[in-house]
Amino acid sequence: MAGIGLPGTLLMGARSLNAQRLAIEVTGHNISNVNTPNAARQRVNLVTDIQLNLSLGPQGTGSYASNIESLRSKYLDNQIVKQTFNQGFYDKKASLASLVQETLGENLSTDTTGGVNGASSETGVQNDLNQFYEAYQSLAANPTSLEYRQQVLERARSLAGDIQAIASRLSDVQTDMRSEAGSTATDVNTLSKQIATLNSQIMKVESQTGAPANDLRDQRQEAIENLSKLISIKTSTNATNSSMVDIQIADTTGTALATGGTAGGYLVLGDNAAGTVINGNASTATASVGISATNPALVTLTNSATSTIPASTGLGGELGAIVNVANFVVGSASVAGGSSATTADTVYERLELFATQLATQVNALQNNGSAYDLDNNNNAGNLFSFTAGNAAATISMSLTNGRALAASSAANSPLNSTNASTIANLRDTQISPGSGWTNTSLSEYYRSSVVADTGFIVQQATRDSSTQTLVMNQLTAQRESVSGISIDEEMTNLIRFQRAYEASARLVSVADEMYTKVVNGMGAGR
Amino acid sequence: MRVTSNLFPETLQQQLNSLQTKQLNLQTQSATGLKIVEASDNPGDYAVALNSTEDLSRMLGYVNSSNEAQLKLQSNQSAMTSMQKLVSRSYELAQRGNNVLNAGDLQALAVEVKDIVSQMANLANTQVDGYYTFGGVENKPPVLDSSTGLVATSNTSIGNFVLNSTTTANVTKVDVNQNYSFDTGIVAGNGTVTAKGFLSNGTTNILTTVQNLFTSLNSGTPTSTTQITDLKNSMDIITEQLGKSSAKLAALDANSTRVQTDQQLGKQRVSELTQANMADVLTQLQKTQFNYQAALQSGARILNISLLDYVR
Repeated sequence: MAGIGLPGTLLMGARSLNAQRLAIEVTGHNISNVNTPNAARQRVNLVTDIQLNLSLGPQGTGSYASNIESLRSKYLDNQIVKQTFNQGFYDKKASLASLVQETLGENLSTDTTGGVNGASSETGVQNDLNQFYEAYQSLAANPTSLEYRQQVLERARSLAGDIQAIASRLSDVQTDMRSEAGSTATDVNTLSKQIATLNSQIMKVESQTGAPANDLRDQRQEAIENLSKLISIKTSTNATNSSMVDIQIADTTGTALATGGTAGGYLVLGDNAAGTVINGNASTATASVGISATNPALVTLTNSATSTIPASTGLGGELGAIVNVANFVVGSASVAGGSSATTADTVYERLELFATQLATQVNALQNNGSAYDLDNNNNAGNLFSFTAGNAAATISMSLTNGRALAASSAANSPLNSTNASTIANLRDTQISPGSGWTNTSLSEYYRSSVVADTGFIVQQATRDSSTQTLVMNQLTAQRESVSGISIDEEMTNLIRFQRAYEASARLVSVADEMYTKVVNGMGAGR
Repeated sequence: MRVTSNLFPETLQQQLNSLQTKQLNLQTQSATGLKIVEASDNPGDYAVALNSTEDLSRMLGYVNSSNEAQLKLQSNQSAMTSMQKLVSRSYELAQRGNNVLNAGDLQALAVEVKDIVSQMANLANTQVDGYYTFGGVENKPPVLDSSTGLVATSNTSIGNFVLNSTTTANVTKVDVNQNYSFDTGIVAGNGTVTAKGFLSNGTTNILTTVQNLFTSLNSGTPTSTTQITDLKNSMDIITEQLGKSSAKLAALDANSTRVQTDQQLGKQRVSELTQANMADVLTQLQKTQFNYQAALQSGARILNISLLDYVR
């Protein structure tokens, strides 16, 4: 009969002590990383050692620690990366679109006049329009009243001023977005570099040790998710080294951000209108692209290969949301002329179209050959002045004298107020200036195409954000159940491994006693 | 499903955040009484509410225009009543002149008629802020001195007053409702049927009739039957004008009532769209507060317990 003998037992105890100690160390590592973002719990995999086939049957030789495993689900990690850029996009879009909505200054407040709890908009262009038309209605009833004429001028001034203020606020919002897009693009570049560096480190460590670099992989996963929040990416295993991950922008060309240990691209965001680069080193950019007044934004990657990514294809992430809102929600005055070939799709385009039409329609009635002011002048001059193509930002009062308001539609008839009534009735006059504006009155266009449509965008983005939050919560909970660290669990493990360590120590102690007995209590030497 | 240490606080944070957001919305609704404040709250209803507020604004304009028209018509009616008194007095004097044979007595009657003619001319030429009340949209003086062509303002040129032939029947029109324009004034008339007024319907010229009465009485000639008939017709013209004026006022009044009713309905429409159901809001608020407290309490209890408390 043979077995592992006392030396083997001592050795088995020592290996067990090592294994349990290692398990306690890993438990300690887990506990210390319980609040580290994206840290996955690790565990020591203990396996039984070889067995000896004895005549009595097989005999085990104890256990040893085979490896330290990081508990991650690649599937869940990938899902989270994919959903993170959606989350980043919708959250950012909801937040930015709300800012755009606020620039319009339209809010309902309680109105208790007339004994009914109603609501009215006491701010914004819709309210200005109502008061403008009311002033013309009053003038129509009192065409010779200088007070009512002055009132019309004041209301018109207020209307023009509010349109200008909205245009200015929209421009400010867009400027801020441009700045934020620039810094976000810089963050994308920094994270891409970080991932490439981590790729190199992981490859080095794993090729040297032959074991997975768990903590570095955790850091890389964290960096990938942070990057994904900023821009939509797709990940793949590097073709030459499976421990490295390649990162590409999820566009049609799959432009590389990081390939193995090399930062594959340099994201440069530029301003088409100004012809300047917003972020980074302009010398590395071969094209100036970005949030443009006249063209959809483009984001160009420049490095070994230059390629452009039209923003309209959807960059995703926060950067995609910024570019999307800046270009496709706020927009610019690009269809100011109201060309029927182009549709006014953005808030600024629609505001521009509205301002142009308001000024044009009122001026056409005010300043024509069949309308007369109080001093019997026809062609009495425009009420509003504006720069074509930039009406929203420039609309202002052209008339300053109330007597010059053409309320009459007949010569030598100061008490005629037909023209004032016609202007007041612009409220209901449907026009079709093109650019997507057909058979709609001025105020109806403003409230439906500017105010309500912006509201729809905010509402949709908020809903998408909420839905995406639910998806992310679900995925995060699932990943947490696989990778998350539980203090209770670790404490239990700590006790478990501590007890095993104590027992292993006891085994060594017993073996030692037996050895002592054999060496000192038996044989010839006694 | 395995539940880890961080899942509890993270989930609790999300739940508390969600409940806080809900509480904020409900608090806003209860404080403002509105379920829609911004367009994004309900873009469709918001646009409809704005549309309704525009309707209310339009109706407010109609009410204001209607009130203005009423004031003018009342002022015109008052002038017509004065004119009626003058014509009626002329008629009385004409009847007396028909029965008096003494030339001196007739001339005494002529003195009063002369004054009436002057009052009629002045009334027809009434001005407010430099604009003739009965001169139509062209703002022309309704009565002129026939010899000078100038505005007749005194009784110095009695016998020479004529209706201004260049005036028209056009008066200021105001919209007092959708597709409902209203003439706010009346004119003195120019002696033709195309510009009927309170001094002439194109057939009978009141001013001329009363001036003829003055001429005959002043010359000691008794009033003729024709003159009396003309004055009777003149009274009918004024009465007709008064009737029209009253009918217009009644129509305006009815229109105002209709507009005000529409205003109320419009407000109710806005109210239905925008007003929060306070009972519902407060119940929901209470429920949310309860949930919030429960989340805090349960979270505090769960987070407070750890295995660390039970192992040495």
